[in-house]
Amino acid sequence: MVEILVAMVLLATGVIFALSAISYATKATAGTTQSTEATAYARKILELMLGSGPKSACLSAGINPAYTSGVFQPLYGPDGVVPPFQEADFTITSDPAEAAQFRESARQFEVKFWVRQYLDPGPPPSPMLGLYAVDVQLRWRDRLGVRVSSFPGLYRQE
Amino acid sequence: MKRGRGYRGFVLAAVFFIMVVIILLIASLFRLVPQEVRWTGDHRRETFAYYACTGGIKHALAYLRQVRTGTGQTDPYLRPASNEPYESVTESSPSRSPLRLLPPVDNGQPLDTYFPSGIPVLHSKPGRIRLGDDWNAEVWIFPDKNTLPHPFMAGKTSKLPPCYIIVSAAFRDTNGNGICDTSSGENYALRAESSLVEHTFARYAYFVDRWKDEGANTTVFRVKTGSPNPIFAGPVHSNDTPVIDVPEGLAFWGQTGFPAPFGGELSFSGDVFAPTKGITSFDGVGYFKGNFLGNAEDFRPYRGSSEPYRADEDRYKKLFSKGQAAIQRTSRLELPNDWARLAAAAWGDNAGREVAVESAQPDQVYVNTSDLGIVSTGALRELRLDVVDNNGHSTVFNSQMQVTNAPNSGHQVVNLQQLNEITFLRQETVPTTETYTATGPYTVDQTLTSDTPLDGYSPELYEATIGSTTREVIRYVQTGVSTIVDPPGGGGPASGGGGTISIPLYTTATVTISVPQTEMRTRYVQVTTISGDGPHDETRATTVVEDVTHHYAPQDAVVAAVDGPVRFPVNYFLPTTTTTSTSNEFPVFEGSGAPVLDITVPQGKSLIVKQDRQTGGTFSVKMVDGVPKGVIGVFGQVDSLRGVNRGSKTIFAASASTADRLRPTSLANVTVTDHLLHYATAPGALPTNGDHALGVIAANITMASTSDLLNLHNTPASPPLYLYAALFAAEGSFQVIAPATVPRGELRVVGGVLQKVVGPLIAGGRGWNSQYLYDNYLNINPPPIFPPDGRFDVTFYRITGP
Repeated sequence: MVEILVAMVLLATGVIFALSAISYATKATAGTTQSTEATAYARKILELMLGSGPKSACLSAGINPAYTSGVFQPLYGPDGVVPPFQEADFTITSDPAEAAQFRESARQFEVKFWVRQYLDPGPPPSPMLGLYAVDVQLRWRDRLGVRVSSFPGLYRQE
Repeated sequence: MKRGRGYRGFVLAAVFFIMVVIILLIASLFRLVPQEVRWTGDHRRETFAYYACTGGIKHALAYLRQVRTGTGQTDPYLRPASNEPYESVTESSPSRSPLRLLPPVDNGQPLDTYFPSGIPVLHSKPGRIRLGDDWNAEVWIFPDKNTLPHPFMAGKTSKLPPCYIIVSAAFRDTNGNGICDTSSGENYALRAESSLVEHTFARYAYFVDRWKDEGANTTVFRVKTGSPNPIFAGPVHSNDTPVIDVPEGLAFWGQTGFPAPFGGELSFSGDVFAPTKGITSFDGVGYFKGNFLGNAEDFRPYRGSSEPYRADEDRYKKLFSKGQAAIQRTSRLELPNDWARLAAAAWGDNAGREVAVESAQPDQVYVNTSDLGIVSTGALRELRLDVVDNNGHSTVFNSQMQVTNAPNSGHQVVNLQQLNEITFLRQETVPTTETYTATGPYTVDQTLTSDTPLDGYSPELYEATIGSTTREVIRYVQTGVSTIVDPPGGGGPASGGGGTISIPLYTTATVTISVPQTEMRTRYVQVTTISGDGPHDETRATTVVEDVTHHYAPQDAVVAAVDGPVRFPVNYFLPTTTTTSTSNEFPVFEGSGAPVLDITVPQGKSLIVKQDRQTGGTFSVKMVDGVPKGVIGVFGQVDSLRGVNRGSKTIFAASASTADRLRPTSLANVTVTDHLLHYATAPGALPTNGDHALGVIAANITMASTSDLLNLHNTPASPPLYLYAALFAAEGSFQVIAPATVPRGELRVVGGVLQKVVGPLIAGGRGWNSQYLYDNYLNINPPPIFPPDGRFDVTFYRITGP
């Protein structure tokens, strides 16, 4: 009888430990997948913004008007990917299943762009010709709540 | 009971086993979860570090562009550091982390880097390159050992384009002091390293800042079917939106077997003047009648009548050999307006200057005796690039002073003749006639003139005096004669002879003379013959001693003996042989020691020859080590530039009214009057090396278009006129002015044309048909000190751990 009692106490303790550990792990890893995905999307967006072409941060020495809204927009909304990007910018395959996976994944994120001329802190502070500070912010919700991650870069126009 | 006793303890054992499993699971969770969280964080931090260190490279590039294309000190290593984001420091150990630059050995190769301890380097100041809240980059910009006149090079100027090594290290600045403070636990996270070569404007086959018609509805790049050569074989840039006209539409898109008119990229920054030309275009380029002043698909390389348009790559490849990828939208490339670097190179270093710059006299040529920079302080009637053989015979010019070919051997002679003539008076015994009265039969011609046409009168031009002005000149009065003997001279432009020469000796005085001002007018004359018998006027020859006015445009030259000794003859400068010259026109060389008449320039040395500025009767000579390094500065216009260039050179014409001759800010015009050929390259062939690049920088560059010149190049049997040069009309155009009314000549530019405003080479249907071949060596080995355009070639790039 004592034996069973001891066994039950041990089992209960083990279960409590296990649940605590799982709870800790869940909290600790909450959003790591989304965070990794957010980083990957941010890198891709930054590559497009910092590269040349119509999606670059600047067009003809002016800030690309596609990046001037300054508000969070769905990375993948009902009308598709936030302009000026396209689905193909984020997928490396035409496989429908992967495309669907991308859409499902992308729907979790909102994105905001921020571009302005780089301000050399000085003293005195002064803008640097042809150099732009770019910031891509991604926002998503996970078990810990709303999370925002900011990815800064520098763009130099040729 | 027996059974129960046998199983006693089993539950406890099972529970222990389950507990062990649970503990193992928990232990693995405690191990794996932090790892996963750390990996996720690492991924984010790596992303931040990546963009921070690459941002540092971009910051350095933006800074170099700002400095190199700006005003003031354009050598970044010599800039005052007060407001600069970088400061010049001495790096004691370039091999330390995070620089890790190796090796510290100079193997003597050009465009090769080495990093000895004590090397000067530009280092970013703390906190100047900050991304987001706390990520920073620390950047070092190292000079290439050959390419800038920075302190590392003791101020010496290289002909190579500047190169840099940039190292950028990213770190998280947790304590906010702007530096990677390792004592506070901060560490460099990632390191980017890049090698760069600076571009110059010489890399463009064609560059235009803005179109001639700022309404831009008439000036276009017109492309036609069946052209056997590209119009532009190299890069083209337009600050304004370029407009391409495809007048033949479908016929052009359908043709096969012909090269695309644009052989390189077409970059542009966008509309500068109204009306807008590119905003409605799919790719930003204006297409005449395709999107600009029309919307027809036949006249553009993309399809569709409205958004969304779609690119037709096949059509793009008909226009651009690189397809649509050739179109690049870039920032505006500002034309330089500060020519201090070129002026400094022309005047040369302080030690070798013949005079202090501020005390240089007008209409003189100064040659720096240590680095052989060449400056003319006056406008030039002619700047001639000649190549002479070992005996001083020109191998370029014929007896009509036309450029005939590009020789494969010979020595460069840079011949500069001033535009402003020197006028002087000399007391001379001159032949004249006197009139006396004779008697007897006579027959004389009587000339009647009229300002208006009359029957029996013929028109003739004459020089009418319309006024006068005064001028102070030197008056020479002969006091005696000195005799010297001239050995047989070399050829030069004209063959020479020998003989005994009388050199008059003079005293001098300054006098004020009246100088008539004249203009050409037409009058009408009738000549009649009258006969008679009795007293009448007759003339007879006599002599009289009087002041005779002389004019001459002084000439100077620099002769570079590169391959071996060269004899430079006395009569090189004379348009006629010595035997037909009068004695007082004969040039007497005044070298050190006794007067010499014939100079042999040893290999590796240069001879500086200067005509005197009194009577032009003597030349002084100076022998110096080395050969000209390549920059020739002229303060004033150049009315004739022609010849064959050996050794890379940049010729620039600064404004004659430049106050500070070390900092010219405006330019003068240059006129090209014949071929500008490339040494050892047959006219029409592409250069096989970058050793003889020629750059010409002026306000406007005018292509001469006289009937004589056009007629030499306007028949199928006659060769085109070739210009092997980067022609930079930085304040105006490459153009013709009032071309002669003869058939158009054929012009081939092997190099580049760069202009502020598109200039006409055809006016009123006359002038030059032009084609632009491309000398790719101008990109690699541009003419010396050719202005940078602010772009860079990245030759090496890598990202590593610190």
